[in-house]
Amino acid sequence: MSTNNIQSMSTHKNSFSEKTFITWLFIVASSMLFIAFSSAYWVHKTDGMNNNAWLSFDLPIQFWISTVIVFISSVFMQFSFNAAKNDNVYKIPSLLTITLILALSFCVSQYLAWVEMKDMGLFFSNREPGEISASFVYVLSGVHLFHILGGIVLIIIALVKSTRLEIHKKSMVFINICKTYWHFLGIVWIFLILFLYFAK
Amino acid sequence: MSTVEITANPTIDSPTHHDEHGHHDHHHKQSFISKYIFSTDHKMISKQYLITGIIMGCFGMGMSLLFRMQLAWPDETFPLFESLLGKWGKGGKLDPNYYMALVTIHGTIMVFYVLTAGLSGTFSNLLIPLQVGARDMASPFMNMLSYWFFFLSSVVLMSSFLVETGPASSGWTVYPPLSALEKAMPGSGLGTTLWLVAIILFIVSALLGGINYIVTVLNMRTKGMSMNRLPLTIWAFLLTAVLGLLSFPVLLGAGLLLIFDRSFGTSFYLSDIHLNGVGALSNSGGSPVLYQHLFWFLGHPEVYIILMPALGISSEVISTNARKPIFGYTAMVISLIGISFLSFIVWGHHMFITGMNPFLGTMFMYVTLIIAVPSAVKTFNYLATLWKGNIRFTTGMMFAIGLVSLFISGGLTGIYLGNAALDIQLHDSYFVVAHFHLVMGSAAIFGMFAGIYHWFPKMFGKMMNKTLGTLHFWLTFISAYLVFFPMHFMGLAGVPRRYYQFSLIPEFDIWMDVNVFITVSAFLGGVAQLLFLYNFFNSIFRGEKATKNPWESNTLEWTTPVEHIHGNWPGAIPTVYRGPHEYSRPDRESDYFPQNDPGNGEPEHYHAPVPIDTSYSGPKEKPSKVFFSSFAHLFLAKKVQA
Repeated sequence: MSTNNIQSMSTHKNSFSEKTFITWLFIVASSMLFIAFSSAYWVHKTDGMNNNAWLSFDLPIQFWISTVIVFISSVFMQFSFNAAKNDNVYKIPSLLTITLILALSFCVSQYLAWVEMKDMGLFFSNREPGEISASFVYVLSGVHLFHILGGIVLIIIALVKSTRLEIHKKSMVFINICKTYWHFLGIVWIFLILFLYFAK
Repeated sequence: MSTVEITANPTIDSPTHHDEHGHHDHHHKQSFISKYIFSTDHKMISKQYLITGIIMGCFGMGMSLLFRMQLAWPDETFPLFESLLGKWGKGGKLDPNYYMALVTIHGTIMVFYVLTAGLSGTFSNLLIPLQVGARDMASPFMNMLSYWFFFLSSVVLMSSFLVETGPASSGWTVYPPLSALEKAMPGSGLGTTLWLVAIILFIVSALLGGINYIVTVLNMRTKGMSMNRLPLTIWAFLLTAVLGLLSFPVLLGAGLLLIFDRSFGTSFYLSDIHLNGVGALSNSGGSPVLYQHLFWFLGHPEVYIILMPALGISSEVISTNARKPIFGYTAMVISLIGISFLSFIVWGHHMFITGMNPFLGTMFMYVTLIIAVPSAVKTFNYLATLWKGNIRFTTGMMFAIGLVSLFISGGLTGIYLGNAALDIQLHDSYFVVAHFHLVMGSAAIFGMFAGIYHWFPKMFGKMMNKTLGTLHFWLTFISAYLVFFPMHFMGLAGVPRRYYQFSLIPEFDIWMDVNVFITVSAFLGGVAQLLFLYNFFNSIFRGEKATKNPWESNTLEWTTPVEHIHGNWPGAIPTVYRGPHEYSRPDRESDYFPQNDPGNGEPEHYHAPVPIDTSYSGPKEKPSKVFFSSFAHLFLAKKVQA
């Protein structure tokens, strides 16, 4: 390999890595998906034809608990990232494990919220015209949960990497992707819960 | 433009896995599978895209010929129908449901599989790394996944021809409720499910590919390749990928809601429907117009996803073969950006007659008509580039000029259709069919042919036969106009699109001769494509060997060896010293000036020396006196003392 190549590789490490860029573009794409669904929700709600029939209901308590869980999990994800940045490599696995447990409990909490909605008589399929609002809540939270599953896979890979001491000060790309994506999912959830609360 | 070096990032050679091998001139042994099937090399993936696209194109064109036969001779029987389609062509008569299926799948194949994946997938993959000076894509693995998702999607779509109820048949837009109720028509059953699965796989493929294109263009350009030195092809591919990234997820959303309506009992798009024999359905509260909004939010940018790569390719081909710099490089880039931006706010012009608020319709009309401005900028720049050029009529060049012609004649009718009031008459008529087949169908396929003929030597190391190419061009060009031009008049007379048979309706019966004429012309176009297929595949194996830079072009892809190697350049990646269109410079002996040629201290752009007359220096006065006396000159009509 020529010296030119080696030099460019070393400068490359400090620049905005391609993998990070790919993550951001993926975030743009999935933001468009959530924008599409929430716009559809808004159009449906404000549609003159269905206005009278729109069913407003209080969100299940579990959704608010989910919000707290996803917030704390983001904090722990940030701690893991900081630990890697400060080269506290032995702290990373434990912090990531806590993040993972919180992520899994977010999934459980979402499931319980759906059960709660079912008990309120709000199903995915609607029988009354207005109950379409409930269908939307299922779709928005379900698509978000699907994204969370992807995030959990990333956290597990990061956890395995961290136990092999492959995440440290000089090898931050993967944990950075994990952190960026996980924070994105947290922000999306907070957006969704506020949107559903104020636009119910 | 000054010669500012904007090297946005220091990433000169990307550390993709190719660099790990070190010696690029070494040929490492690759198994058949890793070389030809699960290849991660962008050049191989581009060939895979192209050949899959051509095969899908054959299916798409074949279907159009079948339904054109039905339209021209509705009362005849053709044993061909029965032998090809079995129970759908019983007794040689095409089944009406199957007619709808053919129209639907023809549209889907042409829009997504040929002109999105086949065009943008092929040439983005081939040209982005080669023209920006990168060893491969940012993520070669994702690139491979992108192709295989596309392949899987094609297989799923074509497999819908093998199911008992036939393929999706509610039009390429698959509007609910036809597409949402499994019992609405035969094709609404399993066929539509397969269609939706195919499109979701396609979206995944388009996103994986598009993300790669954006990262590669922005992050992996070689030294000296600033954004204002990018070939226009790359600008077009970059903006196309951005459009795809922003619009395809919305189609995914629309498709998911449709799947929920079909299979999970929701009613996002369904309301108060009585189905014959089934009675009232339980679905209520939904709105089919919601689907149209979501669909066309993708659907309109999709038109530019199809067209912009073709425009970028023709910019490059026209500049090279006119041996002139492209006229108004910056204007070309700005017009591409303008078209990209506008494409997101005009979707409502597909929905003028859905009962939309007339005020909203007017807004959509204005922004639609504004698209004429960047489109005209591009058209005039093509013509100005051709003007007084030293034109070389290569086959690629003829197709690129053909694109300009079709873009003008198809684009003009867009101004009619963009008017909310005129659209009441023209909507869903053959006028629309004529418009979009010229401006985006034929124009984009001409761009694709231009690209194939121009870059064939780069892809396969062989030249295509020029005589056959010329014949292919003229037959295709003539048949495109013969097929689509008469449709304008049918549309103006109110003939609706997607009808199975016109001979039973007296006011449309008078167009039967025109329908026969169109069908015969379409067969002429079909024969022309056979010439192309023969030329294409024959040249791969028996074509004349290509030289390194057969068109004497400036861009970086022609500096790579004819035989493809992993990592593209045997040594270091070339450095770029100037823009891509420096042709026929008076200060150079040869009429082209490759981007990687350091030259002998010539400026980046040639400026003709301006003759300055030093013998005359004008009158000398104090500025204040000039200022005040100027009013005296103005109001008192004082004579100028020269």
